[in-house]
Amino acid sequence: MSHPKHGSQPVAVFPGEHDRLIAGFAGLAIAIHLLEAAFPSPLPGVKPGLANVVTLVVALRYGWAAAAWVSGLRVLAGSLLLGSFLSPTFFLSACGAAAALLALGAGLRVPGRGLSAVGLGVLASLAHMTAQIVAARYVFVGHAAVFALVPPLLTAALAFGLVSGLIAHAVLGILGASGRRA
Amino acid sequence: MKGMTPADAVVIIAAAVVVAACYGVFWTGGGAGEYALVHSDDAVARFALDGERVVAVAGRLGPSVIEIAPGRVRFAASPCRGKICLHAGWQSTAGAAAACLPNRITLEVVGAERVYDSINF
Repeated sequence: MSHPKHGSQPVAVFPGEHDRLIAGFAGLAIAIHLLEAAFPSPLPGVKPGLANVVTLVVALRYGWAAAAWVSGLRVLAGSLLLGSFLSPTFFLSACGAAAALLALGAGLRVPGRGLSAVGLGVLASLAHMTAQIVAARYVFVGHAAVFALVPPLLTAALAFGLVSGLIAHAVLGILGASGRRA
Repeated sequence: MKGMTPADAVVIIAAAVVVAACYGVFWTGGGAGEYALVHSDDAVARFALDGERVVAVAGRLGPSVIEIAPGRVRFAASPCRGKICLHAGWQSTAGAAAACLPNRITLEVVGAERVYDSINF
């Protein structure tokens, strides 16, 4: 992103190469997000979250900040396009995305050989689901019965996290070695 | 798989353990019920599940007949159309519940330890 160094001077802002990159990936994530929303879910609250494949790929190739941009834009634009902006769905989506990004940030700091997209995908997916359940419990539902849904929802999150992770891993393999890790 | 790291294995195994533990934590059914709470529109009645007894509870449509037996409780009759409450059958574990929505009556089994504050469907 281009920012003026001093707030008082007018500065023309042009999108740089990095901005275009983020916009491109966000567009891809939004498209997947929309396609996925069109498919009925077998269980309320469960969907594959394949848009997160994009977040994972971006995180491993361009770093956490780029992934945060892509994820944030996806949640925002996705909700605008689906008509859920500022609705509970949007709020849950934002909570999930924020938690997933935090988990991703922690996962990227694992020392040594670190985590590949598979481990990161699982971490982010579980964080995403956990945050959504907690938000649903304390913001919208107001009683503890929600927690009865924890086992199946987390099982789904684990499975889909693994799947997104494996897909992201394969995509990274095709795109070539990431800029960050050998 | 190529490119995966030891840390990946740790994360995946730990995640599987946590998820499996969730079933134990969140899905262990309630223990034996001690008493039943019957909520109607304007009243709550408490019945100990220690003997056989049949009570009629006034609802919006009329009286719902609730049968109490040692350790369990059920709707035996209700003036509603769907009879979903009757089909719910005997409720015996703490936290279990049945409801007759048209007649605005719910029954709930309560044990020594409350499993849920409330349940909705």
